[in-house]
Amino acid sequence: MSMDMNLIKRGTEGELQLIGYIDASNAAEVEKIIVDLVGQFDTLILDMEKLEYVSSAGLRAFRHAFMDMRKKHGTLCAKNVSSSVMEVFEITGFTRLFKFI
Amino acid sequence: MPEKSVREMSELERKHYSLSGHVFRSTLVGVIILGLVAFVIGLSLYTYALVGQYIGESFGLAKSAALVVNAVMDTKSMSDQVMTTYRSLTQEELAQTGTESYRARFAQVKNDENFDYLVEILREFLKTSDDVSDLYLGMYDRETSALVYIADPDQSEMVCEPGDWESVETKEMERFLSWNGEGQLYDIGNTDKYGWLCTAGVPLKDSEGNVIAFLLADVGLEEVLQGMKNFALQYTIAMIVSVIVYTYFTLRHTKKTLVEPINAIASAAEAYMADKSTDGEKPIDRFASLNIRTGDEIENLSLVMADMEKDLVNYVQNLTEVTAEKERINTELTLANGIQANVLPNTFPAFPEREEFEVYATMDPAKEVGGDFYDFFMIDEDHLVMVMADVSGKGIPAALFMMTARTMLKDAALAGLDPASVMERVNAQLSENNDYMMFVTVWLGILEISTGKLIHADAGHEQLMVYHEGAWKFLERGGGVALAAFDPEMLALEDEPAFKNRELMLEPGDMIFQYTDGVTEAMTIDRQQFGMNRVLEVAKDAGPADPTKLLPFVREKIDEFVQDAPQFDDITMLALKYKGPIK
Repeated sequence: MSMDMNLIKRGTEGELQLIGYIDASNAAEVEKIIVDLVGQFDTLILDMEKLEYVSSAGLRAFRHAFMDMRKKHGTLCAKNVSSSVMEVFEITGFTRLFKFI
Repeated sequence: MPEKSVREMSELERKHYSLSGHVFRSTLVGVIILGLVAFVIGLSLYTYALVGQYIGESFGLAKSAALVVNAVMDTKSMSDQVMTTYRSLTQEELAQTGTESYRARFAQVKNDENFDYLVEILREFLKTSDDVSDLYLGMYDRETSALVYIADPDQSEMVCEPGDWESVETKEMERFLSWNGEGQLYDIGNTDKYGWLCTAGVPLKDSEGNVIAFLLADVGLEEVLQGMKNFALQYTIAMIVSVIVYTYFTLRHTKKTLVEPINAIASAAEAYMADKSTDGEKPIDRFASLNIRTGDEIENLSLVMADMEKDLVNYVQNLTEVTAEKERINTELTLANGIQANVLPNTFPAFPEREEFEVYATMDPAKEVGGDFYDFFMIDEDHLVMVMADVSGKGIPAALFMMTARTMLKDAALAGLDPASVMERVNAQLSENNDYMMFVTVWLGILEISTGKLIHADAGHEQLMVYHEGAWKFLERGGGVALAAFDPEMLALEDEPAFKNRELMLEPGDMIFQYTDGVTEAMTIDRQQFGMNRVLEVAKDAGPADPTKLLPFVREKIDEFVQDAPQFDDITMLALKYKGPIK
C-alpha cells in the first residue's frame, strides 16, 4: 500500500499520522481505518505532515469521517497540513471538515 | 532456450527416466559384488580343505614310513655315506649331478644291504596312497642349501639316485631342520621340475637326537589347481544363471509394483492435460479410475492425485464461472463507458450555426467508467451553459452519481436559475440519501452571448483560466464547496453563502479554459505533478486562440510530461472562445 499510518492514543483522543498519499487505489482502505478510529475516539487528530497527495477519492474518506464525527458530536482535527494538500481542501471547500490545530 | 516440458519429449529423450534401468543396474552391481565375495570365500575354503587333506595324507604317510624304517633298519650309515661323499665333492663335481660319472661316486650306497630293503618298504608305503606321488629319503646340506637324495623308490626315468641333489630355499630348509615335532611339517612351492608340489617331511634321528635324514612325501597339487578351475567355471555358470533369473524376477516385480503404476499415473496426468486443452468437454476422472492397489506409497500417491484432480476440476469450474462473470461485468462496464461518453455532447463544432462563440471539450477516461464530465447546452437563443465536474472516486458508483448530478444540474439551469442557485439546489438534492458519501466538484457558467457577460459559480472546483488581452491567467476561486459534501443545514450555519455568483466580461477574442484535476495532477512515475503553472505555460505556447487546437496541445504536453506513467485520473477539458456579438 502506498500509505502508512501511526496511531497515538491519549485516552479519548487519538492522533493518526498519515504517511504517503491517498488515491483511488487505497482510498477505500484508508476510509475504513479512519472511520473505524472515529468510532473509538471523541477527538481524532490527523497529522498530515507526511501526506503528499489526496485525490477526490481520498477526500471522500475524510468526508465520511467528518459526517460520523459530527453525528457523535466529536471533533475532527488536522495539523501540519502541507500546502499542496491544503490547496485541495481549499478548492473543494473541505477546509470545513477540520479544526486546524 | 526454454526447457522442454516432459510431455514434449520423445520416447527416446525420456529413456533416462527409466526406473527399470535403475533397478536393473543396481541389482546387477549388487549381485555381482555379492557373487564375487562368495566366489572368493568359496574358492578359499575349497582350496584350504583340499590342500589340508593332501598335507594330512602326505604327512601321515611320511610319518608311518618313518616309524617303520626307523624300527627295522639303521639308515645312519647310508645317510653318512651319501653326505660324506657329497660334502667331499668340489663345486664343479657337484654341478654334474644326475650324470653317470657323478652317480658312480655314490655306487657303494646301493651296495648297502639295507638299501634295497629300504626302497622296497618305501615302495610298499607309496602303493597305499593314490595321491602321494613320491616317498623318498633325503638329507639337507646346510652349506650348499640343497636336498641330497639317499633313496628314491621311483621306477621311472625321473628317479633320483643316491647323491643326486636339488637346490632348496634356505628358509624352508632351516624350518625342516629345526622342526620341534609339533603339528605337520610341510612346504608348498612351485618348482620347475614338478610344478605345484606339497612336500611333507618327517626327520629320522639317531640315538643322540641328531637328524640323520628326512622321510619326504610329495603330493602334486595340479589336481588341486584343476579342481579350483572346475570350481570357478561351475561357480561362474551358476552365478550367471542365478543373476539372470534373479534380475528377471526383480525387474518383473519392479515393473509390476513400481514402473507400471507410475506410468499409469503419468499417462493419467497427460490425459488430464489433454482433456483440459479440449475445453467444453466434461472432465473425466482420470486419476480416480486408475485403481492402483499396490498398498504402498504409490497407491497413496494415486489417491492424492485423484483428490487433487477433483479439487482442480472444481477449481477450474469455479474459475470458468468467475471468469465468465468477470467478462460479463467487463462488457457491461465497457457499455457503461460508452453510454457515459455518449451522454456528453461530443459532436464538434457543437453549434455550427453560431458565429458568436466556439466551444470545444474532451474527456479521456483513465481506464474504466469515471466521474469526470463536462456539459454545455443552450437555455435560450442568448444563453449558453457550460459545466465542468469531477465526482469523487471512480467506477460504477462514480458514474451513476455523475449521471444524477448532470441531470440535476441541467434541470436547474434550464429552469432559469443563476449558477449559485443551481449549485444550492443541486447540493440539496444530492445531499438527500447520500449514504455513500459521494460528492462532486462543479464549475458552472452561463454566458450571455449578446454581451459576453459570463456569470459563473464554483462548487469546490479548479480555478478557471481566462485568456484576456492576449494573456492567460487564473481567476481567483469563488470559495464554493463541493456538492453533496455538506448538507444545506450545515452550510446554512456559516456566515457566508456557500455558493457565490461571479461576473466576468468577455471581450471578442477572449477565451476561457476549464478542466479537472486530471490535468493539474497528471503524474510521472516518481509522482511529480503537472501543476497549474505548467498548464498556464502550455496555454501560452499553444499559439493563436483556438479551442480545437488548445485542448489537444495540452493533452500532448501532459503525455510528454508523464512519459510512461499510466494515466491515474480522467483528463477532461473545456474551452470557449468568445468571438463577439453579430454586428
